[in-house]
Amino acid sequence: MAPFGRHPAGSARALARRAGVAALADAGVTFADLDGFVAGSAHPLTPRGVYLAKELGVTGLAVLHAEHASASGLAAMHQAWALVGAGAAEAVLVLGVDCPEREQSVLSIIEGEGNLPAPALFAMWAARRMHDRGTTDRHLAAVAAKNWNYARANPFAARRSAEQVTIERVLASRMVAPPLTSMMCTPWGEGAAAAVVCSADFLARRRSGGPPVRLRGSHVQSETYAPGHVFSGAIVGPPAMSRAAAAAVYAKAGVAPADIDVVQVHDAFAIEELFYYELLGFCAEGEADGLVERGAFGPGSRERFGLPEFSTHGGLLAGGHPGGPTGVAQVHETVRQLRAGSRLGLCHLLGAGSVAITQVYERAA
Amino acid sequence: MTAEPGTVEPATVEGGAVELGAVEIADVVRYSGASGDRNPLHYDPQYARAAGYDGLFAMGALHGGWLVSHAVTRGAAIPASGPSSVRLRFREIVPLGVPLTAEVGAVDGGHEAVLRNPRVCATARIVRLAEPPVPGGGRDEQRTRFPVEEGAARAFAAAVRWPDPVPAGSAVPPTFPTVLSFWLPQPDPIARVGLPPERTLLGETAVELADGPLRVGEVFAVREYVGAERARAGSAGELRLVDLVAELSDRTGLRARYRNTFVLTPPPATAADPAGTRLRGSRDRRTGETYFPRRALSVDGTLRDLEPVDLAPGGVLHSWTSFDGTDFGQVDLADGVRLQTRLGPGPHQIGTAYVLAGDVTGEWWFARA
Repeated sequence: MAPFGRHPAGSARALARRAGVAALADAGVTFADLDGFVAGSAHPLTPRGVYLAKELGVTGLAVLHAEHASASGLAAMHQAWALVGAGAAEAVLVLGVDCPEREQSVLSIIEGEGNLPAPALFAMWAARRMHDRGTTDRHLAAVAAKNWNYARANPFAARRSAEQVTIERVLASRMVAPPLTSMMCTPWGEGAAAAVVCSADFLARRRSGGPPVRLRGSHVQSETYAPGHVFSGAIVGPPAMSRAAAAAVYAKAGVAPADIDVVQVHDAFAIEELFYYELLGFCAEGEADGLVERGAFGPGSRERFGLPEFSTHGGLLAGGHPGGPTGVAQVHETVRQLRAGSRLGLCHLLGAGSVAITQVYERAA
Repeated sequence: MTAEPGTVEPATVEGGAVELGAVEIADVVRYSGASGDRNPLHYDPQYARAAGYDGLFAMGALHGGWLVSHAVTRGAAIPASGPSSVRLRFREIVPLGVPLTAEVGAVDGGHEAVLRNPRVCATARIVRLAEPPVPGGGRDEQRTRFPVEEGAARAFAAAVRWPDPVPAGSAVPPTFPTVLSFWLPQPDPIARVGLPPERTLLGETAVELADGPLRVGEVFAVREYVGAERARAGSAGELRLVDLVAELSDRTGLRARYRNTFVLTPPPATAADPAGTRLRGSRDRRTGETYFPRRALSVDGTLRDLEPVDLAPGGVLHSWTSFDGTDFGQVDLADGVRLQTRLGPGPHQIGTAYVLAGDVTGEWWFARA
């Protein structure tokens, strides 16, 4: 990983090298051992994968590029998984990276695609849920505070608070789009994260490296029409898309929500994580608010509630959200958690336009 | 600026027509206060646009009152005794801000005045009758006592530019019975006749007087009822007409019969609106579903063609927020479309009605209905 945060324009190559070298070291391999490279980036001014691969070596390996806005990192993982699964490659470096060569605001790109500003859409999710279910801004602040506090221990997080973050501090931050305050919204930024995806055979042949983790299943779900579908201006599709993506990956991986130990989601806005507790199958519709009040989905959640911890590296909210690296950072955190004793982890991201990508990871022996 | 009655010398234009000036919002406010007519069609621009009008227009009784007052200044007096009638016919709506002219001529038994802008908007006919009015019948009767109060008369006279002061015992303007709205248990005439307010216009007002005008200080017993509904062919489709009649009586018998005829205009065109005031979407003939924005092919992936369709002009607010100084919302239209849009000024409330505003070919948004 390279830390998420503000990096000067033109830093993509350096960030790519830093994350790539670290991933290869953890995997116990070198760039020359690879036969595939998939880059995932979202910003149109980030150098494409072909240029970044050459930073690490000019070896003729297969180079592909995945772009799926916020979900680009998991999209790149998905492509690598499909390549290796099909036998088309044995060892693929996945590089999530975003740092434009020159300044161009992400908000202007989103609006250039005809979408209303992202905070406005998710603020409306929140306003409607408050109307329908009585959710309050304190529930949103509790989710945000949890993630901010997880980030305090993450050296790669963009937002690391010097002291414990409280609900009151989240509520007191600048209002962005009612009811979302700035501490309930992810910061844009730059960064890089990398992972090596390989076949079981390749794994058996390598001589060193950290404990492996199995990618049990990956699913890409785009929008499905249902009455009330907003076709234009909404950066992401209806919440039901995430429910479908989770159900599909559970089926592919042969697992159930009760089996999942740790979850990373697309918590670009605090309201999203509240919905995902329900949509990803961890509690019934409407139950999330009460569970949040009682401290579920945070530290000790497994022991106290039998429910996984969410966003253990700070999520998008406090970890930061450069489009390309975010998915691979989720994988990085999932691997860290599985190596520390958990068995199954779930990753989930949305990509503008839109898609939901879900993946299940399992500790391998 | 509007003038007090009797203080303005109207300019005389060729052909005998006289400039009356334009009806402005201040005149609407003054008339609304004096008459009790609170119909938002005449003072709320968004309501008027949502109802299909380009902008605000005057209530018929307002410019009709100006026309009658003008006719009286030109010699068309209400006879002090004997039966007579004043009949106002409303031909076109009178948009605010458009200058009006009036011309008075003699007719058999009295006078007729014509109001133009320059289209003929209304006519007023003031004539002697051969016989006094007789009581009629209808449904949904309501009754009230009705004193002709000096204060109410003064305010009404100012609003319709009546040329004479109205002290105790003097004649009130002939359309004064409209202030029955301050006395009747159910005062809203459009609710009384049971027509949808955004599509209902006043077609005609007739006052039949048994023996001279009503006077300040008199007290009447009033019986108001809804007359039979009838249909008539109009240029844009079938019109439905309903009468609302108030009969004012005292110990001498029936003194006045005050009739308003309301007209239900046909609904605005829904398909291929030539004025371009609707958003365009697509409809799936098989499922009946509507989509926005327009799309070529069906959503189910079977590659069926869709047909273009105009969207409903309004709906209900599903959710809203504000960002960077602009309000945004998701509106559920009547035809099942949910769209995300900029909103006009608030305050906003989930579940309330919103309508399309702005220019569909340029900048559009949704505003509170």
